[in-house]
Amino acid sequence: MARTVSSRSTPEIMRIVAIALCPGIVTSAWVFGEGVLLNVAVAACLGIGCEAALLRLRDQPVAPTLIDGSALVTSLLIALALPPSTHPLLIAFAVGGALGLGKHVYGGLGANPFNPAMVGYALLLVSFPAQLAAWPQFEGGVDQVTGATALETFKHRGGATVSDIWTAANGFGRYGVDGFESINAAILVGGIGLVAMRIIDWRIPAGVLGTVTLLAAVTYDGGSSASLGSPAFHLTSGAIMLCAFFIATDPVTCPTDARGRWLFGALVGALIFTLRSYANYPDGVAFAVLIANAATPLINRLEYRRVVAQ
Amino acid sequence: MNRAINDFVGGLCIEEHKDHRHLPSEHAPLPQLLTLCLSHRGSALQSLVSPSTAVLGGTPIADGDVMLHAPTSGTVEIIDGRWIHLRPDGEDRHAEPFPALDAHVSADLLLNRIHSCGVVGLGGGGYSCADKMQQARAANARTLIVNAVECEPWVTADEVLLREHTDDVLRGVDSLARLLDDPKIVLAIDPRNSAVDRLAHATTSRHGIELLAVPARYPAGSERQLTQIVTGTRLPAGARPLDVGAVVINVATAYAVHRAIQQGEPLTRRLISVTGPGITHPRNVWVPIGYPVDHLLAHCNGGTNATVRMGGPVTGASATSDAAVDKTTYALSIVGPPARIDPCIHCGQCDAVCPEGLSVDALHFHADRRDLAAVDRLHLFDCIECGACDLACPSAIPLLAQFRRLRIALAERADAEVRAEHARTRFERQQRRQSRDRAEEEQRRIKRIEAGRPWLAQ
Repeated sequence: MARTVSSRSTPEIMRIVAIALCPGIVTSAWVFGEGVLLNVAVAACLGIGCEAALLRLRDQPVAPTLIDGSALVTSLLIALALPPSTHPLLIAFAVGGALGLGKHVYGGLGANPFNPAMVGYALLLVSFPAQLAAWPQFEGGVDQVTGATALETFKHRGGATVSDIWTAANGFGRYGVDGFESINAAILVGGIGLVAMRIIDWRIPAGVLGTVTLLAAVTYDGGSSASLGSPAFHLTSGAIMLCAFFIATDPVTCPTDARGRWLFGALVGALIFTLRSYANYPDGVAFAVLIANAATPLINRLEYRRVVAQ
Repeated sequence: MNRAINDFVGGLCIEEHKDHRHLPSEHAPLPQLLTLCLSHRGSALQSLVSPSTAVLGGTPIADGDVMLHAPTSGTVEIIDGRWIHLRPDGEDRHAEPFPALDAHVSADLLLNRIHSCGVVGLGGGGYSCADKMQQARAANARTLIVNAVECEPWVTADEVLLREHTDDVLRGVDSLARLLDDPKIVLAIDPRNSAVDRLAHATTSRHGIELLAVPARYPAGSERQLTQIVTGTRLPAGARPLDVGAVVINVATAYAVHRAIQQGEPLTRRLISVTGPGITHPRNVWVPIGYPVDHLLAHCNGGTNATVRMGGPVTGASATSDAAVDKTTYALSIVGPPARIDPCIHCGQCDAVCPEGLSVDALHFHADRRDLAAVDRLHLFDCIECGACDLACPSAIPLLAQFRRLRIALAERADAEVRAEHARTRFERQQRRQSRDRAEEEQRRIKRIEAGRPWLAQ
């Protein structure tokens, strides 16, 4: 029952979130090579520069707001969502879209209705879909060939059954693609750290992962050609952990109360599963989060009405 | 000591900052001037003295809802309608105290004594103790809760008083209990309080006082939350402890009751904490009522009035430049430099800690937009002003201060509405009267015509 509230300031919270992303970044670099680090470096520099420029344009004091670290977190999330060694101009497009159209047009930190990182990523995804599908295949060697990710293989498999896919594709591990399994595991570690430090509300990742697992388990038919993938496959593929622990949990764009957060997490999870299974893009994280963000004011309204009616 | 089985909702664990709890209390030297306010909880007191009168300590100087006494001997200097200025003569002579009342006097005599000694709730509420007990008698209250929780950080005045005057406080509690019909007496205290051992020792030899350890969470000492901890019933919005048969008395009040009944001494001084992050040596000082704040700060090497809050560092309101200690001042808190305020990130911590279950995040959102109707709908007036939201906010937004301003604005608006309503009724009444007058005049005119004097009709 006893509730201790973190006495951390907002800038400290942002810095801790950035640190919690490090296991994911390191594992990603270990799997995909230094291209990931290049992404991170470019995105971080662009993010900080872009934030400073936008603050200047808005006649806001630059230095105090810049150190709140929220722009850095946004940039890191974008860097992790993009394939390694993405062209710096594409990163600039995403970061600029995130901070400009996703955050500052609404009045800066705390005022944006949509998750800025996902606004930037979605802008880039609909503008340059081919470039964003170019994830390297990893076969343990240095020579990297770009190719389809596991989710994409699933999407464009023709009539293959699940076991066909597993035999045909190289680099598939036990549940999904080897590399993504490790990356998702590393991000899960950072995410659990945030939950333990009470930086993020555990209800949102629980809602997201629980719903995805539930829907995958209900629809999984043992691996026929119409199968949508096992729960384990869904939990280890794509950006699921990044979404559950780092993106959907953005306090600005998720509901404020416990009930609302359960609902929000479940909505994100259901949307991810649906988009992955039936929509055009292989992964559905960005659109799922953006759609759920749009529902946040409505979910908050439920709580508002409950409180008013007290 | 029993551990409470009931709990309140929300709240949070905080740093206590109570290292000065082990220091003995001190006495402040008499100042040049005491300033006593001629109003209490918004209602005016009638002055009983005329200018340039010499008074002894303990002389009644004002009467109204509560009585006010001269804290020391001296000359009453200025009475400008709102303040009495008392210039001490330095001899600190006191009037003859009332005779001590023994255990068998009637309840009316006890209540009368409590009233004539000017005892009010010293925990910050300031409600007349005699009135409160009278109401408790009328409502047949069965639980007497002695509030020794003092949950606010930095404040230790009640704790030190309780440790240094354990038996006197308990005697005061006994006197109050006599006013009720064999009540259950619960002394609620934080288990970390340094007076716990003395209390445990003192209460084993007495019957009927239960020592109850409350959850070490802020704001466990708030009246409504404490009532829930002790009785297990969550008070509905707007309800008072008396509605569930409980009456809550602060330990300092119980001590003042003891002084009034057993020593016949009016309430003219109190123990306050001079404390807070902005002072090197926090301490507890006995001060006469009316002590000027700036004088006390100079004595304690504290800050200036600009950095001082009247009360604890969390719930205290900023002090004015001519502020003085009154009966409800339990602490002076010198606050540090203001924290950097970041934008609200809607983290929901404020909602989670609000002990009244308010939607603080939504309140703040609408408060920023000065949407008075919305904050009223969101139950702003159920806010108990504990400041738990301030403590929880990672962006250091001064939520409590904002809500207090809004409450004043809402009250003013309600006032204006009442005035407008009055003006409208007055206007309508006048309109009706005028049209009635016109109609009567018309009637008379017609009668005159009918009476055959048409030249008057025009």
